[in-house]
Amino acid sequence: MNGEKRSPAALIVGIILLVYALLLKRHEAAAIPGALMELMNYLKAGKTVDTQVGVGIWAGTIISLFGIWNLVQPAMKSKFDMVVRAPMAGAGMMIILAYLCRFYFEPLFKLWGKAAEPALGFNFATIFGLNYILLGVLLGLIWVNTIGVPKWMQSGVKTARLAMKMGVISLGAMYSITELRYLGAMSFTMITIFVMGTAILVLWLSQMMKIARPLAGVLSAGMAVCGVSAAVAAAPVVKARGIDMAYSIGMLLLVGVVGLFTFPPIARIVGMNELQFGAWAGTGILNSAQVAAAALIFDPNTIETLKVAEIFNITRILFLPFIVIILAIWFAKGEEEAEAGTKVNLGRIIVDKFPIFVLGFLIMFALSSTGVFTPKDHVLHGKHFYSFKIDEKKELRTRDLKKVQAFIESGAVTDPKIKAALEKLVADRQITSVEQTDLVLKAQDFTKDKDLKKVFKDADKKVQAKPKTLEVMREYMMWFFAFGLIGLGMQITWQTIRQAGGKAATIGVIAGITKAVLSFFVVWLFIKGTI
Amino acid sequence: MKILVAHDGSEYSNKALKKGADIAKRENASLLVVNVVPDLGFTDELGDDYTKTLYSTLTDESEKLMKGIKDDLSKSLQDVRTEVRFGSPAEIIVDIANSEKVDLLVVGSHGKHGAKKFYLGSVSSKVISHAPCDVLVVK
Repeated sequence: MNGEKRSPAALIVGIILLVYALLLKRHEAAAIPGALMELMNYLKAGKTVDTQVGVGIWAGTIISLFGIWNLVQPAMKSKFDMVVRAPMAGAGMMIILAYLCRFYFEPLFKLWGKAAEPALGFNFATIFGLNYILLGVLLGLIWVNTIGVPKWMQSGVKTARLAMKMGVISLGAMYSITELRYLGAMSFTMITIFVMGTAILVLWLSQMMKIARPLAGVLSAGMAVCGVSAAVAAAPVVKARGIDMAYSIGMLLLVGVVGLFTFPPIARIVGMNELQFGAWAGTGILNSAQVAAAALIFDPNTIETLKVAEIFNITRILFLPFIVIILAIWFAKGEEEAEAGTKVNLGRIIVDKFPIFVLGFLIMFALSSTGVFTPKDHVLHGKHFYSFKIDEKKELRTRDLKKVQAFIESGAVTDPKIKAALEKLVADRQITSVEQTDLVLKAQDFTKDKDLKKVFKDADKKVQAKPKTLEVMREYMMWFFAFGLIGLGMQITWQTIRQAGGKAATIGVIAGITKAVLSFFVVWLFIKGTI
Repeated sequence: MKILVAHDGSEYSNKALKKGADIAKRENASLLVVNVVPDLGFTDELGDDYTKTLYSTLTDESEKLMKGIKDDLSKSLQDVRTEVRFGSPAEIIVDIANSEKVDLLVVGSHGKHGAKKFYLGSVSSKVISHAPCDVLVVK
């Protein structure tokens, strides 16, 4: 509707982005830095200038061009107009907001956190994790609840969902087979227990509190599986009324928002690692977008936490059809005297409810394991890519090699395989195979000498490689997520949350807290290693 | 004379409806009953299909409710219309009051709790401050 008028919004937004990027480029190139560069240096964000200029120029150009088009000929109702042209202005505005959060607010809070540390005794920016992801969600949340989203931005904000999905799909390229197998087995066990446990808990609580069965059914699907979409997916089989769905959505959103803001600081205080937090967030937080947000708030610089959390999240989403079926059976049992409920066909439900983005994720993973994104000599092993091509840059210093030699001669290593690997390391001056790198790392266990341990670690690090394509993909992925999460914040309206009420809220809060606390302890007690 | 009743299916809106119908009968006025399916905002996480499920359920229920009301009131009133709209309840009600040149707007004082509060509750206060005509708040 808003797209039908000739709107200058996209052109204005595009030009703002372009002008900013070009200005920054000029200020950077000038012998005497201009005001913008001084500001960047003050914020200690000088390193980000290249990204800012690069993304700004291409995004600004594209949005401006579409802006001219939108001005000359208003976006109509064709699919392309609705999906691409109409959202341009809003999407551009969200890129500007992402810029603000990533390049201005985050560095600013970092500075403030440090400045306030002597007075407070702790760095509030680190403890609360005031990084651009969290600031983006907060900015979106504050924006929508104060100014509200203007009409020209609305269709752009809706693209946030797509952006998040694109982010998850590209994430698929970042796993190795070993990782996926390891995380998959772990998540399958945890999620099975927690999905079933939560569903049963909610149904039991509902019975205790005498809540109508349709509402109980919708709530239990939402609390157990994946939040609001599960609640609505389960609605038809339990014959839920519109108001039951509205209640549940409000409830689930509230529980999710609380989790989103409390999980990361708690984890930081108790000192969880990436694997532990990913598993906890993926199990304990309800909505998909909120899981991704929590993982990135905890750790925005590497993607390790996100990788773990998303596997848990995807596993949980795949449980949806089974929960729908179980609810259908449960509901039919209680309604025996009434006419038989909706007939359920397992095969159809699985096909209907299978999320397409998971398919995309798997395709990306498959492509990535064939090696299309990586140069031929790169091998993915565990977390990292390796390149074993002989190269002077990868060589260890003679001093360090002598240390290794002395260590071999000391006879501390009894394992012949490790010994052989170390001997080869000394001979080649660098590691040359996957097996060898594992063995060299294992050698750390045989010494207490910190320097020597570091030598082994360095030897491994020196053969690690960063494939360009994947690095670029990672950067784009982070933009998808940052963009999507501002949109997430913009959907958390007080209006929606307020719908949660009455007994449904009590059950939701009890089940939500139970799930969060129990999954915390399970993770804390049983998940120890790293990826 | 034209009377507009805002109805959300809650007990309080039933009271408002009864009052509105009584006045309409007495004044021989025309009665318009409006039900607004609220825009719940958080629809992105849902996706298009589920959003459709949600709103079509809400709309069906509202339409059924309005049809029942119309059938019921037509027995005793000559000029009764009902309408189901979608959006922000307060805004829509004020809009209709404007466009239909309504003389009196009747609303319930508040809903029960939770979702029902969302339909009326704060809606009443917004309507009172923005309505172009007199507003009767039924307790």
